[in-house]
Amino acid sequence: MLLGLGSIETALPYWLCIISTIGCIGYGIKNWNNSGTPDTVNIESLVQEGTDN
Amino acid sequence: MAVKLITSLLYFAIVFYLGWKGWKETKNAGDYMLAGRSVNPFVMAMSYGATFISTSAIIGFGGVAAMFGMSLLWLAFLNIFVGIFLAMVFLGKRTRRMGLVLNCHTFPELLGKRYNSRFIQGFSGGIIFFFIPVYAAAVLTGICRMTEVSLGLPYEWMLIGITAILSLYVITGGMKAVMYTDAFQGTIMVAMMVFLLGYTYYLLGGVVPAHETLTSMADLVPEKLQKGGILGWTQGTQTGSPLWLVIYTTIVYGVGIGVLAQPQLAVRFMTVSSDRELNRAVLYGSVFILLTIGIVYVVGSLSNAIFFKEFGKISIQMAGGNLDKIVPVFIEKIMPPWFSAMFLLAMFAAAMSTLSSQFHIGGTSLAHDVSRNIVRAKNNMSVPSINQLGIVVTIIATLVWAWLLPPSIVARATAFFFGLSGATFLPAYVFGLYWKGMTKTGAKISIVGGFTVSMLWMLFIHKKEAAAIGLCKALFSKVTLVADAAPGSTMFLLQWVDPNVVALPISIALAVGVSLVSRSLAKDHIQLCWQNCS
Repeated sequence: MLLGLGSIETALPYWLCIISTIGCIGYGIKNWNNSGTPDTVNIESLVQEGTDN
Repeated sequence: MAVKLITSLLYFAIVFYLGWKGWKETKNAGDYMLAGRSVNPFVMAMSYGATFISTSAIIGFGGVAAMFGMSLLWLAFLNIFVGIFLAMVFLGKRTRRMGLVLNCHTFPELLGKRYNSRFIQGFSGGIIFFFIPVYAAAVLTGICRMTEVSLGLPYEWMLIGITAILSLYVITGGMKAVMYTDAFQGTIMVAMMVFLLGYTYYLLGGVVPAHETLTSMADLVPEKLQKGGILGWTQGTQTGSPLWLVIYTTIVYGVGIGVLAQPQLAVRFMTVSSDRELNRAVLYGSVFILLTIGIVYVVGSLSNAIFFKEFGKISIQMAGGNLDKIVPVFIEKIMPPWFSAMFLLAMFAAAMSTLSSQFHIGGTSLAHDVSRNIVRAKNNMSVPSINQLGIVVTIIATLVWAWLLPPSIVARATAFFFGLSGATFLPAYVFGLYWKGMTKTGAKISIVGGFTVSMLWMLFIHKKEAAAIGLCKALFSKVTLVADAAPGSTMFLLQWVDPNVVALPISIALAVGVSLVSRSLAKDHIQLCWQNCS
């Protein structure tokens, strides 16, 4: 578990880096197409507004 | 040398092409400031990561890891969990949704419109505009010094040359050019870092043998570091020792938590079109941070084992006592010759991706948040022109700082800006997204209070900045106000406590305390802010 590292103080973050990245990958895959609740504002209209400037 | 020049030219050709593509696709102010709010999640995540990770993070923190060892991996973990996951899922989505409904284009504008306060927008923009050039000067001088050594070109030429190239695509192409080039530059960084890690472990016989070799070298840690509390490169630190405080307050707490309120990162949440892009960006962003920051801390620490095996010396001895030279010396002495050319590109990429975003955020803060109305009223200029003018001023300010500031101050600029942003913006930003009861007065007092405490702590208590800036010495004839406290006492140890440890809780307390006793914002305004938040 320590992977040859000298203490839990260094082995723990080593593992946590890998585990948290795997967790983030899992989160990304699980929510790959999840857009959440639709926006109440239309982005197109804001972009159009900006064009006028 | 020829290989280095050819790869550098090829790299700049691609950067120019992407800058040109950004310019071609920029049609209005929304494109210029937020890349049209329709950026691809891969580009967004790579841009976020590449902006976050500059050359100093790789060279500087790689050197720090070679000194302090793998305890620094706590910072990499925080960067992934806090800087990517919490930031994108809990802050990013709300920032995007609220920014959209309030039609915000910059981070200060988001704060200003959330609290219905022109003061907050102007003050926040002013802080960003004033301090980001100092941070940018640190990144700029870092890469110029490195190329001076590596390519043998004069430092001043590099300073002007790199600034000119960046200016061209940031001023003309705006956020699109910045993000496209960031994504390309981020990809180069990842490829180089992965090879660096693989080769390092290969030289030491694999993952576990490499770690075991380093573990067995604990007695070789320099005496000064042992006295400061370092037990070994893989053994960690003695709890409560000065170096324990440095690692866990400055590096982990200061930089790891401070990342949440970085304006140049937060603004990227508003460049995507839906939550879906942020969900995907979590995946890309976490992998990017692991493969850049995570790797550099491991390789930095392991450089001791390789140098000792090859030359009978540890890293800091190989670098002649200069911490910033450890990674460059490792690349030159240990890695294959072709790699040093490629690594130089990765460093160009790391510096330029951070600098382009700094120029862009500094310029838009000045133009959009501080002075747009004044300039516009007098000159009748268009929004993109005002922003371009803002970026030009930011670039000039960066060059002035790069020329004027002593290297000791420039070296502290990154931590300085991260600390300052954390204490100043974090409570107003996070509470602004999640707490309807946060008031305008609460936000104002928290922002001004956090900024003031953070500045005072850096100028008079925190030894690293206080010694570099020298104001405390000039006024009170001592490096810090607690320098003459009994060695080992709590007062004495305060010199190593990061400003955020003190300033951030004060800023939070001010935000909550003042909001509880001050007048709430109008109900319909709060309703508008939350209209798009599920």
